Amino acid sequence: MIRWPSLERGIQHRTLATRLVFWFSILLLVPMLIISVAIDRVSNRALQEDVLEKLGMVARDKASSLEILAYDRTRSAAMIGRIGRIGNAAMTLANPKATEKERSEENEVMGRVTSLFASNLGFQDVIVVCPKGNVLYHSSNRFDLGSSLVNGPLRESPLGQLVKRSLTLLEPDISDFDVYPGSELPQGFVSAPIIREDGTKAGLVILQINDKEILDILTNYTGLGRTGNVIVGALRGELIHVVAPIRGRPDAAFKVTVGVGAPYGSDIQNAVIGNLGGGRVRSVLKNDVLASWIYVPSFRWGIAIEQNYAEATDMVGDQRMALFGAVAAIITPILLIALMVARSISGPIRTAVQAAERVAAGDLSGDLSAFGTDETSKLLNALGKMVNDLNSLISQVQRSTIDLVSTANSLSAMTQTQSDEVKNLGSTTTEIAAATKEISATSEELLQRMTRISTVTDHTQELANSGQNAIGTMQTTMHSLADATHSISDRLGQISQKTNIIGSVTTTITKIADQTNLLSLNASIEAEKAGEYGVGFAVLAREIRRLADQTAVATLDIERMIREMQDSVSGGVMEMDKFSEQVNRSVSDTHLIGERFGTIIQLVQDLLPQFEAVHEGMRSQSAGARQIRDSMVNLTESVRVSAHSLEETRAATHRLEAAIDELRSEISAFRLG
Amino acid sequence: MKSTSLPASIGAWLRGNPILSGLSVAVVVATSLFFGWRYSHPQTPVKIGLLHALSGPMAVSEGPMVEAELLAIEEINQDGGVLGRPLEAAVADTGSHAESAMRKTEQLLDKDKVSAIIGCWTSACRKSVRPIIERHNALMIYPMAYEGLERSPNIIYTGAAPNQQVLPAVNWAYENIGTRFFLLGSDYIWPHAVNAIVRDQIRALGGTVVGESYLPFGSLDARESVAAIKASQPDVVLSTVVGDSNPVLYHEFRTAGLTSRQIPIISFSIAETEIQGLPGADMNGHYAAWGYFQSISRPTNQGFVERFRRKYGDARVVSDVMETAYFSTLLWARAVERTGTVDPDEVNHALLGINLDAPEGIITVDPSTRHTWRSFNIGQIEGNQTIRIVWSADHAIRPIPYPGSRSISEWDNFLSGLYNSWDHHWINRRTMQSPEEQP
Repeated sequence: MIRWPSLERGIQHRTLATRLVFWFSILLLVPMLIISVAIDRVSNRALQEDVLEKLGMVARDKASSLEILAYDRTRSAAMIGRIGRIGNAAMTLANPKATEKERSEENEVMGRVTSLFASNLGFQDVIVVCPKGNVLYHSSNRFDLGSSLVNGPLRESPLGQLVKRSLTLLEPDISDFDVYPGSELPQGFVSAPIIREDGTKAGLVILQINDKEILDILTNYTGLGRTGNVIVGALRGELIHVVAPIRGRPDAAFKVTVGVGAPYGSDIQNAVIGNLGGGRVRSVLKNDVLASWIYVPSFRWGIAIEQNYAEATDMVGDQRMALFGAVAAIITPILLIALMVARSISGPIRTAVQAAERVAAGDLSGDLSAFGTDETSKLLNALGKMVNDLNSLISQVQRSTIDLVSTANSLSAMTQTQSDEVKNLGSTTTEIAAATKEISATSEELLQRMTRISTVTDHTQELANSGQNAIGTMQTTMHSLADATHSISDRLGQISQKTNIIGSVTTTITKIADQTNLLSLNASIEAEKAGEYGVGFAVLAREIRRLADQTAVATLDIERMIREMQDSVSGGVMEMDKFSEQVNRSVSDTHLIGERFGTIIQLVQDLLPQFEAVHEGMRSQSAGARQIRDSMVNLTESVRVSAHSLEETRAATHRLEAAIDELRSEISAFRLG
Repeated sequence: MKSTSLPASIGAWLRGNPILSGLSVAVVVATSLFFGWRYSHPQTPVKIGLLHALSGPMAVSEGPMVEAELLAIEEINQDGGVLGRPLEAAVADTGSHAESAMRKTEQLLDKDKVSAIIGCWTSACRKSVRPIIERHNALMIYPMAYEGLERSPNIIYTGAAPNQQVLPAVNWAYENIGTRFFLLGSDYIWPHAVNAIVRDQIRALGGTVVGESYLPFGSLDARESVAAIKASQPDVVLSTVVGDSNPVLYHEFRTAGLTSRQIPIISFSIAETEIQGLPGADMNGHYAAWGYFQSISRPTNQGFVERFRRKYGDARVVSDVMETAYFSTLLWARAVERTGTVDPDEVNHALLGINLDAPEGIITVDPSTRHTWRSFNIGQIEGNQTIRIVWSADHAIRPIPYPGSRSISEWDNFLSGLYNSWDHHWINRRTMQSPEEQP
């Protein structure tokens, strides 16, 4: 991605012509490059697909050749196994009772029959074994089989395995390929059961596949170019063995191996597990190749057909060269034309630029008129007109400048004065603000105090009220006390009266006792007179007299007691009267106190609204003070601001003066026509 | 002169031209809308038919096949589907019934418009469905080991042919167990055909068939057959008994006093899934012959078992038919990717010669026979309900659907003879107790 800003910054300092050519070439090159790259990629892919298709065809062709070969050989082997003479010969050879003559005869028959069929049907060597795996016949002695293929030295070889498997499966089968002692190339065998005419088995016929035929198929590199290759691999456990020569490595068989999961040879790794496909991979020889792979079930081989990527895409390189040649051939003339066009535009513009530069330098005396109708001529004419206008304008400006200077000077002076005043104002307002702040603080404190007093007053009123209530209660109590005292006095009066009545009764009794005493005295006298007849009576009179005496004594006691009682009662009455008087005095005192409390309360109540009024006044005063303070703060701020603006105005005025000076000097640079 | 940057001047110029700027905005919006639609528009799914018995006597065997096929479909969809389209299963239940299977096949082809059908277990099912498939020129993959003797241009056979399962097992038994064979099967086409092939093979080996017995299809009584085995005292029994008859067979075999040490049974029908529910005492020591066993130690297989268990539970086991059903689905998807279309005809052609690294090994669809190169293993059932591999063929065996013991026309005549003698059915219905339970 092109970084536009940096590119543009670079190009902006170039001339117009360069920029025109630059953008022109960008507009031309970018799409051309995109198209070229796209064409290149598409054709590259198409070519790769073509190559892969071709490799795939070769792979399928080789696989089917091998399959046909295998199928053909197994059928041939099966047929050979059903040849009656071979079955009979095998029976004879396997029979331990057969004579030496019979054996050599049958050996000869076997040799004749098998050589006839074997070489014609594409086999090299023929081996016949009995159903137990013992070797009955071997057409050559190129390598040693031992006496038995099941128990002998080759029992673990693919040939031994083939015999064991075939004896059980009783079907034609193909062994894995392997290198045997005495053979340079890997060898493979086909086995088939020998079935006699009665359907019973007589052993196995084992035929060595003609390795040359297989090699012909595998080493045929027709259509694969200089680097085309055929890799044949067989999976043994976790290792893939290359089982046939590789182009340029005739000894590769069983010497080159690839582990399953190795980072190279993925073509052959895929092939041996039955996958069919193609793509760009690293080959077994670690080359960058295009490869196609396929599996051959009869031999259990994977085949990879490879071609070096470089060779496969050679044509792409040619195509690329042609494409870039074409691009270059187109671009060069176009760029030349672009340059010419750019020049034709930029020439007159350069004249105009030079003229403008002269004007910029202050030279307004040149003639700039041009002939023509194109944009650049119009531009030059316009420039000429502009210079003329400038001429008159500047002389006008020169005149105006002088006026401006004086104006600026007076403005400057004025500003200075104003500034000083504002400064004064500033300090004054600051002082006022401080004073106001103090007032505000004081009034607020006062307000607080008033609030406290108001609270106290409220409290006092409450106390007075409760006192008044208490006195009211006391008065009531006093009254009831006075009442009680009166009733006691009354009772005492009554007692006094009753005592007087008792006194009169006592007097009566005393009188009666005195009379009785007289009477008894008379009686005793009379009795004395009567003599004896009067003795009894004299006793009686004596007794009565004694009784009267006793009564007189008792009455005297009662009298004394009543007198005492009367004294006490009259004392009590006197005390009661004194007490009653005191109570009455207390009642009137209490009343007086009550009234005084009332007065106090009245006074306090009268005081409250006044407090409230004072409080309210205070509050509004405080608010007022605060308001004044705020206003003062604002005022101070405004003063500061105006001071600042004044400062600026002064600076501006200075600048104005400087500008006028500059203007004056600039204008003086113009040479007016 | 006032200078502005080029993009800024273009911006200013566009602002000065409302029509032009409107046009450019419209172009940008239209382009993004088009590509947005193009990439967000959901692709119509590709449908594949799964035709299996999910009810009836075969359900126990075929249910797991559907599970394996659904696992494969899930994996295909996780990898982006087929040709960028999601793959969707249309599951059809045959109810273990041939007529129902035929009806469902018509439905899958006509209504669901499936690109291919994977299905059937029994040969009866396949043979019933085959004419419909051929009439529609559709594509079917039959993922089950069977008797061979068939080659339909519209069917890919991914199960083992006789030479990949039955014949190697017979040969192995002859070599390792004994020469006297008893042939036991369910009374329908597969056991009869297999036993015909086996008889030919035993004759070729020089062995003897001491008895042959068939249980009615779906029968739950094996006493008669077990008595026949006991009477004839073979060295080995080759069993083609299917489905629900197996538990009773093994149980009555043991209760009759026969042991797997004296007379082992080699079954071509039971595998890991079937032995799960059966008592270990009944099964211990008997054999099974398949292309795949769960115990195969290949990284591909370990991954398969792990993924299956992650989806369906840790206690689950997988068997040959499940593996076959699984790789059949993958095989079809691979062929679709290769040919670039889901057209049955094209895919049918592309399937021929295709290879796949399946859990059991590398398998190949043989172009000439339309059958599949399969592995072969003999496994022995152990007490803990696992199967231990005792013999393995090392690599995949080329399929031979028509065994060489008779000519192709002889085999075809043999099959049509059975079909005609069973009143034009692929199952002998006369031996079945209740006609309602016909599969």
